[in-house]
Amino acid sequence: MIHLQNLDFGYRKGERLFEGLDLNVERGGIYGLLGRNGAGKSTLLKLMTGCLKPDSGSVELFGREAFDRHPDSLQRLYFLPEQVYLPARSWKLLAKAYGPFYPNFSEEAFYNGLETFHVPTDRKLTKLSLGQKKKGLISFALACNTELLVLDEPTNGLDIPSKAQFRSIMAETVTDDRAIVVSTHQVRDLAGLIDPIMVVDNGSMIAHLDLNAVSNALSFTLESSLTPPIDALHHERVPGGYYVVRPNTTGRHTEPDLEVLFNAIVAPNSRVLTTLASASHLQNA
Amino acid sequence: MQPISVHRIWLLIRRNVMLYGQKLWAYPGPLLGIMFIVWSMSDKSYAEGSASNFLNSLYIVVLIVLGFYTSAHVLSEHKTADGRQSSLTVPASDAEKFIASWFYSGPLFMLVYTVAFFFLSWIMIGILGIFGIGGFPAFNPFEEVVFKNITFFFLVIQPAGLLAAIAFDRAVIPKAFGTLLAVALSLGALGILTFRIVYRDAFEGFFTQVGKLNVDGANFSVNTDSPFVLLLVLGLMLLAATYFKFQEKSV
Repeated sequence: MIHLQNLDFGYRKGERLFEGLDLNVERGGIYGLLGRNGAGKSTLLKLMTGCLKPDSGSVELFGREAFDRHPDSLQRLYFLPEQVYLPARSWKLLAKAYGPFYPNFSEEAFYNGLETFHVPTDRKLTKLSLGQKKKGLISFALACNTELLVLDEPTNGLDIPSKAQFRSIMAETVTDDRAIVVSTHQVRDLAGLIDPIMVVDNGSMIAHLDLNAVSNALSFTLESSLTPPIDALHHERVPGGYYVVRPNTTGRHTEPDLEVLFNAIVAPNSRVLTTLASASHLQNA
Repeated sequence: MQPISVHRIWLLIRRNVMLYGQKLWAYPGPLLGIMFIVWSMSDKSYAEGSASNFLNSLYIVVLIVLGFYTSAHVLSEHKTADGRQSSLTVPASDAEKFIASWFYSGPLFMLVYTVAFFFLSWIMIGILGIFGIGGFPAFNPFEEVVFKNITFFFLVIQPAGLLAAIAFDRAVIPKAFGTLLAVALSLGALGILTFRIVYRDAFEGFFTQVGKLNVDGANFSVNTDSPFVLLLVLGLMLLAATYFKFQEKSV
């Protein structure tokens, strides 16, 4: 679906945000794009969807150069940016104005989504709160039934029940012939949902991990110890003890805590990353 | 090569009408007000010929101002990064988006505006008739000066509004006039330079005329179609410049 090869990009001359970045997104997964603030997650999504032109290298979207913004590619994807732009009109008008551009758009699914998220349908879109706008556009994005959904920080602005609804809807949405790319810095919002994960740091993709492979290679445990464990690959102080990451020597699978995993990966001289790299399941970026 | 589909262009025009059309329908009210105030204040407008001239003048002034406003409005999404992102990811090619924006703010706007102006002039006659003022003609869109000259002139200069809308984020309408003025001045300067070269013997220095301009005796004929061709070229150049600027837009 998306192939980035040897991508270089920077907003200013001499300041590289990405250098020699490679990435593939294929059908059948909810890809989590993780990174620190300013790591370039949103920029990467804009490059993937043809909103930005790479300085060099290639970005292919459905087999075409993304920046050409070919209609056949654009109608197969829906991109929900972090900052949403909505005209001072109603949801009904929005569906009529934009829906027909997407061959599989379902007006019924759109209104069902608005109802599920309790988004008011009788108000001007510019009068809605950020969360309501986001939920409305998530409903629209899902109703487009595109093969690829690209969501930039979709849970920002959502209240707690809406986050749970979002997770449940996303889990239902992903099928073998579709892919979803979600960028987030709130990894706990998407726990149990995203797999694989891609970590962007210092201008390159430092990890592209299948979570099953992570569970094979590492164990994640909460230990009620008062002193930091010395044999851990990574540990974090949490209320009541330490969250500890060790090599998985037992073969028993533990659910990775995404926040801890992320911190372990981006840590300087990350031992977790080295362990994962040596494990055969790793799909290194 | 950018793909062009008539169906997608139709969808884009439909989208433009849905999102921005309210502004088009908001014109008749203020127009009626302007016409009423200016017309009723002008004694000269009661004479049949000058009433027609007055209406034609009002028609073209309001046409250009509202035309530039409509051009700026149809591309208003491009003023912000979020808006650009929304516009760029609509499943249509840049060429299709450009054609739809031009059609909406050019021919379609002009048609709606002309029809509205025509009916409003009749309403004005009705209102003025109630006050016992009558005897002058309504606006005639099929009059040659309107149908041929003004229509052509507007379609030539309208791309300046689109160019300003895509090139500038703020104060688009004054900048559209500025763009147009800059282009007109450049063409004017080119014209003067050509004139000065053709009649070089009649000038001393660059501006001081010392001899008679012997137009009748010139060994070339003046092509009266050239202003038309020149304006057409100007319009096409403005359109091309706007399209290339539009195509390079990114978030």
